[in-house]
Amino acid sequence: MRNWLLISGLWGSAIVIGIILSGTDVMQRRTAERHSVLELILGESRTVLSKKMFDFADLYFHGGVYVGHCTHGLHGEGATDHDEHNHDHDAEGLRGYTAVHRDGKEDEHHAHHAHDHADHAVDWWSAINNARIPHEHRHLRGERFEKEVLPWMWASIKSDPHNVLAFSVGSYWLVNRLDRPEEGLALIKEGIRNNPDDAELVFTLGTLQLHNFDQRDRALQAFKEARDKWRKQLLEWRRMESRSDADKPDLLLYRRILQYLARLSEQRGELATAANYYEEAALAAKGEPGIQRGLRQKADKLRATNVESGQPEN
Amino acid sequence: MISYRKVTAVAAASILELFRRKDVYVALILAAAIIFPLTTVALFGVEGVVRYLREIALMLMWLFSIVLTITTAARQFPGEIQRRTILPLLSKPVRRSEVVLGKFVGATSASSLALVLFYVCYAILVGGRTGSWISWVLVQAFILHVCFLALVTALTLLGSMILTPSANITCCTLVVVSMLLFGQQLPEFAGNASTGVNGLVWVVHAVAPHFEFYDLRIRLVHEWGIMPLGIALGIVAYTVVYAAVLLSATVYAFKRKRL
Repeated sequence: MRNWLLISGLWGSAIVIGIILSGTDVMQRRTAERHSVLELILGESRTVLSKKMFDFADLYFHGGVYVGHCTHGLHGEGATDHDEHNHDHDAEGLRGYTAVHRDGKEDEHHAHHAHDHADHAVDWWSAINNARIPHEHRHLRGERFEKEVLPWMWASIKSDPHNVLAFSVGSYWLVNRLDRPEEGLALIKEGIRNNPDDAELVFTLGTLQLHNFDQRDRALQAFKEARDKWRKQLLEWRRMESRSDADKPDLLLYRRILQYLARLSEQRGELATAANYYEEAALAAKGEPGIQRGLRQKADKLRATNVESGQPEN
Repeated sequence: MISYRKVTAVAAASILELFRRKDVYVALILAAAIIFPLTTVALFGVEGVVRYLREIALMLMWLFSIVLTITTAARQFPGEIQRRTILPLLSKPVRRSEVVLGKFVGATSASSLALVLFYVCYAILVGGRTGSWISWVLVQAFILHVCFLALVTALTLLGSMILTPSANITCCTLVVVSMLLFGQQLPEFAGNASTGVNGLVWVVHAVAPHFEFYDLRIRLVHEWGIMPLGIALGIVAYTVVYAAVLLSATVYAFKRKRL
């Protein structure tokens, strides 16, 4: 009888403590932050899980073979000779598929990072394992195969809705590889809802609206928003006490936002504004003298045209 | 000389036991409960995605086959010894080596029959979505999976002679899972280990059963085609030799065991 009373007392205490804690600011904030069941269960480990899922997507893209274990060039499943020579994401796998590819710069050459594992079998058992596991470098090509990475992208996004890279690459995949712009747009909008301060996702939205839906005004708005968010991120980074270069907002992204803004302004006939954007983009291209020179020349040319046409300076 | 009739008689009892225990059906229902909802999902509105299903189905098949095989093999001797039913069996004109071989054949056949069920379900699952019901790589993967089960059974039977049932199940599961996960990386571990430790890792690499040899999931999931036949035959030969060594040790331990 005494034991029953003790147990009942402990239960009662636990319930009372639970009620008191649930009323505090800390608990309410935590509940608001962790809105999904997965977040509640996994906590911070969801970030690791999300990255792992993304790595799985990359692994699937390479036919289940780790890039570091490849001994041969590209083969099979629609791989072409073109792929063997113009392979721009070997080093990073799917991570290489960022917004850069939307500009049609997919064919930039990168070094091949294949390591010769299979030819260095030191004993029989290793030789058997090398024969068992394929070592060819293969990419998924064609819709039948390319859609196979989607479940892992989905899992990556669902396990961590703050994985910006997964949203970015996922939307790229849906739009450019699977010809599903509507789904890609929906995904990027979901990404923005989950990461409202991220400039890259808004920039990606802009490129989608421009290239796939021909919505120039909306795209211009998105690029302006992306620029503001990037600047805000930079300010926040500068305010950080222990800031590292790894956390610094990507200067290349800023330059690309400005270039888009310049191009769209130029198309709208706002030459002086466009020239200013090019000038700002040139400043963001520090360390790349060739690009900087090209952007400055464009700015000068636009200013000259603007003066000739007699439009007022901005 | 071993009598195959006696071996078959002992084996038949083990096969009946597995299906009487209904473990296979539980495993099948559990697998179906996990896989079926996945087949109905169209992620991002895209249909016909199949590789992740293969991956998950094969992973479950491997997991369940390991559990079924180890538990089946681990129960062969301890139960009979505890219940004393082994004594009337040994009082008949049957040698201990024939009992061990019978138990081995029975446990391997029982696990393999369960595996047939798993592979049939897998073929239906994948074939229904891709139109390709059976392939050479599937046949090769199945044969090597059966060899895997035979080796696991032999190891567990030996364990049941020298360890308690729960310790045997734990140790065998540890060895099988560890070798499946890390067996291939042992030379790499040895290369990175300090002097002394690397020698130990090399010994493990040389002596421990390489269960990862039998895992062709990557070829099945990603449609890489079959492994070179010479290598596959080499793995079968490895299984025969390794299982023979383990069974000989089991017979030796069984002969010395006080019942």
